[in-house]
Amino acid sequence: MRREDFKELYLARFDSVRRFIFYKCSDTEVASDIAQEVFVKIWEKNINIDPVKDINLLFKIARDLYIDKVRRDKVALNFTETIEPLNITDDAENEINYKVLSRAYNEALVQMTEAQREAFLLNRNEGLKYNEISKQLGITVKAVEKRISGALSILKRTIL
Amino acid sequence: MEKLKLNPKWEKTKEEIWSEKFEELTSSTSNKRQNYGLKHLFFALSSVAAILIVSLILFSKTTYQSKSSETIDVVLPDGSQVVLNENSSLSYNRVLWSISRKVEMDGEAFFVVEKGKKFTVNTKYGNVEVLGTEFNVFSRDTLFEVLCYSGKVAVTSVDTAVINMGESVTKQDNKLILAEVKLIGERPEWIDRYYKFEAIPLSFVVSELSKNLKITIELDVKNDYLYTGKFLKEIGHDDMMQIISSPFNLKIEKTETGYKIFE
Repeated sequence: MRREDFKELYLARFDSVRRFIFYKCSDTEVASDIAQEVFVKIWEKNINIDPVKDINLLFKIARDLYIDKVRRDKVALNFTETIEPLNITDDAENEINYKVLSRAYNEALVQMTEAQREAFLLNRNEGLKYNEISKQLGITVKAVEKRISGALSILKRTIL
Repeated sequence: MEKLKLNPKWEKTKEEIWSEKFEELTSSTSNKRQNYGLKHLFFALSSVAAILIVSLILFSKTTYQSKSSETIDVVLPDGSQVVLNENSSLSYNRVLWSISRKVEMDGEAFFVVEKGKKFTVNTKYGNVEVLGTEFNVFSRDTLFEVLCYSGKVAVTSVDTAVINMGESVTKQDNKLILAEVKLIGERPEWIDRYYKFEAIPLSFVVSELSKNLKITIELDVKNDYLYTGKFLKEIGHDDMMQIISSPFNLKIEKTETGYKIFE
């Protein structure tokens, strides 16, 4: 892989890789570290990754590194600090609503399995379509649907 | 729920991380192989260490080499004694000594071996194995001879032979020939070819010499001296007197029955 290609891949994908890890562990520091390791590995082992075609490989490396390094020591999940309203309003009532909601949202995310949360957030937070998620995770579209519907039912339960 | 979004707050942007970490990583091509380099370095270092250890064992040899008209007394780590005749060499490995008592020898030497594990003498023409005995080995040019002074000795050259006290084995025409030998004294004659004194009072040296040479030597000095020296027995009396008196600037005078040494 030439340096320019590597830089292109890095700029295009570094943030999505670290968000992907963040959805698993809710820890920005760990996510950044692992994302860096992913790209160091790609460079040093000279792995050829096409920024469009080989996306699943990129995320597979990230997931494997994450499993190697982190998942062994169970981390306490907490997303609350990173939950933000989509449209910022300075309306007091909205403020309270938002706080209640975000607490419930975090609760739901924590309750989901890692696989459910991953698929759900790739869909809602990253805006990926089901077939894109299936490509990235290396699973079938059916499996994506199943994971997301599971996630949604947990969400419903916590909010209502 | 559609109104909420997860927005991780990164400590550093991807551009910052690039310039901090990947700029350097990707700029030098040698870094690409850093991983392998370290591995190779590790292998290189460990093989160097292995070679060092092996060579430490192989080269931790102690060697004794005698010059002409010189004999050397060697005491081996187990207390065994070896007297090396002139122009002979003896070596053994200090590290491996505790595992096997083994010496290499060339020339002629007399061994007084302490009892213990097998003791081996390797020479160019044959090996001698013993448990604890006294024996003389001669191995020079093409002549190989072992003479046993006490105990039992096993000799391996073209063949194996076991000899007892008062027997010798000689290699001739690719055969080991056993023979009985009449032993003169308890050790080989060549060991006693020299007079050897180490920090001995001159008066004692003089009385010893006069006894052995059957001559009268008068010593007329105020204070006794300590003499250290070594000389062949076969040299003339004049030379001997010269040798023992010159270190102290003493004069010699020939008398009817011998010599007089004075200041």
